[in-house]
Amino acid sequence: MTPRRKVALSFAGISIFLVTIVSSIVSINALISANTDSGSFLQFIQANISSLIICDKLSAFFILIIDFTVVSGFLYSIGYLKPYLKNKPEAWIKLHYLALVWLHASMIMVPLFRNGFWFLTVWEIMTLSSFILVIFDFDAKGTLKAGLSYLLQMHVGMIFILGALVISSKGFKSVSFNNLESFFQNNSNWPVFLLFFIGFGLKAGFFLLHTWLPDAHPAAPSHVSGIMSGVMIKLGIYGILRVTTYLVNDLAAIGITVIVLSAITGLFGVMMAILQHDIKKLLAYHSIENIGIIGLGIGLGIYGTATGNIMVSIVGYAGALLHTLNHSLFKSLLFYSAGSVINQLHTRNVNKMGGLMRLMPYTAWAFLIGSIAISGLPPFNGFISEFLIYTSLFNGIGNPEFYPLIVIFIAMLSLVLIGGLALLCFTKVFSIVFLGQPRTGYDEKPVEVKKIMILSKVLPVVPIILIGILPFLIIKPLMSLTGSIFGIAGTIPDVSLYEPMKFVSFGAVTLLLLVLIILIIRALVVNRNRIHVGPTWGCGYTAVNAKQQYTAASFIQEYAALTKPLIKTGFSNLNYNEDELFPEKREFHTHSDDFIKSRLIFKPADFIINLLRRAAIFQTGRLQHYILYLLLFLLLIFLLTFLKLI
Amino acid sequence: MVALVLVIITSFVFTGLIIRTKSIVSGRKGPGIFQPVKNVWVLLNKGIVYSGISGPITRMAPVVVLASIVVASLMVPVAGFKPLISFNGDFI
Repeated sequence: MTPRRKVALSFAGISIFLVTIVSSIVSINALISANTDSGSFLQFIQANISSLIICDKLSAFFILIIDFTVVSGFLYSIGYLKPYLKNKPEAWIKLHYLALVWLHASMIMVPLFRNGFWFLTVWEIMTLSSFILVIFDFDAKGTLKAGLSYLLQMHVGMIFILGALVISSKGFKSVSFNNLESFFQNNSNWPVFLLFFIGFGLKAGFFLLHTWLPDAHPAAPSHVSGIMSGVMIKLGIYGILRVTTYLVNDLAAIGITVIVLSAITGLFGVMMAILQHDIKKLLAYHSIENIGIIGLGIGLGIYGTATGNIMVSIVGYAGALLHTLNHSLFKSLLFYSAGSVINQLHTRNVNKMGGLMRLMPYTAWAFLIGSIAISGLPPFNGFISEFLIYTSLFNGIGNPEFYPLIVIFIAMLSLVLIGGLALLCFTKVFSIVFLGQPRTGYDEKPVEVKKIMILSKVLPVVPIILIGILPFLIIKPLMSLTGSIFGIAGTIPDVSLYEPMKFVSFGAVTLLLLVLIILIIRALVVNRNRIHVGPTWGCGYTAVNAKQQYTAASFIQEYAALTKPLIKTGFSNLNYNEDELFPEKREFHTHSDDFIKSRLIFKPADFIINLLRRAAIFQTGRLQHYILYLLLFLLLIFLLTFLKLI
Repeated sequence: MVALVLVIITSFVFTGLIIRTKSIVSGRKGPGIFQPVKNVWVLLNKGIVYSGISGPITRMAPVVVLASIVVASLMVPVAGFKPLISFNGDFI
């Protein structure tokens, strides 16, 4: 590394750590303090720097998540970008780090501003800086296209947010989120909430609004994918939660709509994820799935507030918040692990991987922990937040109204299905990437990645395990936090939530202890001298071909056949001709299309492009023609004026 | 607690009991009820052959499965006794 690059790197590092320290102090201060909008350090900032900065508990919660993920992402990027240093221009690397610093700062600022102008400004900076981060590998195929699609869709989203803010600020001096309180009391909440939901949902990646996500994440370098998927799309969730805190009427309808949309989002995300062969695209679809789960929690929270059922509302919101935290942890972990694999193999196709557990053990264990956590299995953190949402759903059944009951019941079933399908998906990825053998040998043997990349994976692993086995410690603070954020008063009976959490911890600890005990017993009982290592099916039949293993497509063939009516999967395969005595070499590949993307984005875009192409015949390049157009236009104006049409 | 003890005791004899009963019903003598335990003991004293391409997961998996079955058994109410782990929504 040249000294100047070192300067750029240390500049980025110092800025990120400084921003982290300052913002963490502010947010921890806000979390601990009893009042919602205070904290001595924050008061100092408000008095001396800007009175626009407001850090309440919701902001503080999100800021802490952002800080944690960005720091681990930055550490990871030091190792990850090393191979790129040789073949990328120096200025580009510097710009990348500058954009990373800007992304961090703007993400911190988004939850801090309530004023519309400043909010949209930092929102825009966030979009632009993340765009620069996404197109880092700009000479790779499809990267620029993915980046541009991301940029365009974010701007569409911003227009929706702007529109909603302007509508709600009619009659006020300034455009601000604070106006929502009185606006919502006097007007119907439903339309403006929908506008906000579309605007923020584009960032978060809800169903129908998600199409940028599966392209942008694979295109970006892995630390950026981790940060974007872990925290940046959560700012969409933050926006929805922020608006939710002001809602007054239409609550039941909004709640049910959010629940339905989220259930569809979750199911769609995981169903598409299973079919992917690109490891990062698969993780990107899992982000959509997890946004669906978070949305379920939010919807339940709104619906519970409408019916006045505190067990539904507060537990639902708490589940959404905790899942936001959990997802940022395990998704960044998964992206970092996947990035380490990509860094060694230079491909994202899972079919070209295999047997990496023996070559990259730390990465493999990290990915395994992330997989178990994201599938919502104990003893890791994903289970805890999904458990909260399940609890909320079960309490929601107690409501006697018929249609909401049906919706909640279906939501519950879809959550079960999401969990099961996620498990299938990660069984597939883990077994194909890390177990078995590579189908086609490696050009150069992959080795375990650098220490700093392993360290950045250990960072999220620690809270994943802690939340997973000690949930009773965090559940009470989480509940009081949720209560104060959403203004829900009331206490939860011990038996319905805190007791179960103790048992969950007990179960998790018992499980881990039992595994340890049985391992020790086995080690004592089994005679060490009698352990042999031999080839698979080594009984006189030794030549098992690596190509006989399951592939990513064959592993899920049954599933793909089941979902065929919903998701178009295709494969190219030529049948043998009758006169073909010796079969020629054949290519075979499978693919799956995102039908939303093709219907909603590509078709209208193609239509417009075709239309514009037809319009291009007017552009002849001859002066006479242009004068003719001018004349015709004047004539038209004259006629219209004459007929008093304009 | 009673349930746990019950589970542990019955797990040793139950399979043997079933095999023995079936044998007697069909007119044979059948193995003793501790035969499965003896089988396990014999198997434990044998050597192990791992595949060259298997990893630590293959070695861990049986242990994790056994442990999770034991933990699951803690949650199942047996013969009307309250299980060791029981709470609202524990059937998730």
